[in-house]
Amino acid sequence: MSREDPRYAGSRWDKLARWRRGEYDPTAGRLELREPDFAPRDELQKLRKYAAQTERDDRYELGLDTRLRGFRRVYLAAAGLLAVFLAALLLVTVSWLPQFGDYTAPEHNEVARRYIEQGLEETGAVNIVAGMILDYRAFDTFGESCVLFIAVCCVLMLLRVDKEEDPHSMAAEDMSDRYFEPHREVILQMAARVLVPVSLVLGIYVVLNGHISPGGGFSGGAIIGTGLVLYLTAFGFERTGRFMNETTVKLLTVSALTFYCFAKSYSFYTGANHLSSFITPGVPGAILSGGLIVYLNICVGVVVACTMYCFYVMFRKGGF
Amino acid sequence: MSVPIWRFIPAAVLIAAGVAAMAVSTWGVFRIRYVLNRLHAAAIGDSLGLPLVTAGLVVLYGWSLNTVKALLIAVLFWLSSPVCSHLLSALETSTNDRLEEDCRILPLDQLHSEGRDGK
Repeated sequence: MSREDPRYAGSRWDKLARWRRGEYDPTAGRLELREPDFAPRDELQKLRKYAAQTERDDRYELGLDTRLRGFRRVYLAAAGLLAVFLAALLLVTVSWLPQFGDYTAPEHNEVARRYIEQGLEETGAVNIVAGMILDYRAFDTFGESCVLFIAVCCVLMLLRVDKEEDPHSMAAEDMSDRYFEPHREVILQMAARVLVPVSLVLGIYVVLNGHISPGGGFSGGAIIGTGLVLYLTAFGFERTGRFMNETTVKLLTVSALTFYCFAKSYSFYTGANHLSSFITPGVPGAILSGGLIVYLNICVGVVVACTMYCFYVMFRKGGF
Repeated sequence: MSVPIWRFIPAAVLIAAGVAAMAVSTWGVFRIRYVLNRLHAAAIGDSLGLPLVTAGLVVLYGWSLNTVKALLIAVLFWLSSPVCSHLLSALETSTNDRLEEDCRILPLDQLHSEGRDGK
């Protein structure tokens, strides 16, 4: 059927074409009592066009200040030069690397083969990934945990509410902030009673089994943190404050990171100098095997759980 | 891994139904504008789409420890999704000034009597 055919208008294909162009909606008016008012489509397009035009003109800066125009040219040239320099540097570096997919590249034979063939024997971890990230490359993981710690510090700096403010205004702010949060929500509390123990136990299981099955400190810690956040949402700060307050979080995070640092320093020191170490891989598959991996997983899990809890508390209230 | 046909067909039907439910839910979330109506669309995916896909996978792979884990995921969603919907709707009813225009509000005993009359 051609488009000039009088039967085309109102036919199924016409409707489909108009629906694709956004002019026709088969469910219009039948889905909801009242559709909230949004800007109509052509208005939105006009707005977008206007925004794009101002961006193209650079209306705010150019044409008003000649010095600014000169600076802008120099800035653009300098930025271009720097980008070219960086790109050239990276390209030269890359040209020294082995070809992509090269069979003789060390990463394709030595490293991976070593991990797969001797990983179990050397680290004692059935989960090769855990053996890699917490034994061969434990230093990387230490850095990642420290990044989490730094993130917590930054969030604390930015969002922490000063305690020396006027208590009256703080109480008023508290009220207005938390007016819409759930208060003594029975349904949420019932769900939390079921879900919180399950998620905490699951998180502990995932952390402790990190060297045997998929999982480990990062995922398990995230599960534990989620359970804590759910408990806090359902029961409020009075209940969670008994076991998770500023002191506990500080103590847990810092001691976990310190233990990680010292334990792995010892292990690397003895390993690099071929000294005998009291850390042994143990029997692969047993719960207390894999040398330091279990303990490092616990450390990472503690750091991740504290980080998540701390983030939530800071964003919600700005203090413990 | 070869799967016998008597297992494959029901599994495929279950997974296809789950994907269809998810598709309907996604369409609804984008098409429906008002929060309380949108919640209905979003709930389809959590309460029907995901458990159907999970059931299809259970039929496909048979019983193992992973099956139990997959079923636990479905149970988790059945527990948490209604609670989330409840909290969201509670927030909406407490913040919307023009609630009467957006939905019908009726007391609980009237709702019960309507249910008895089969209206």
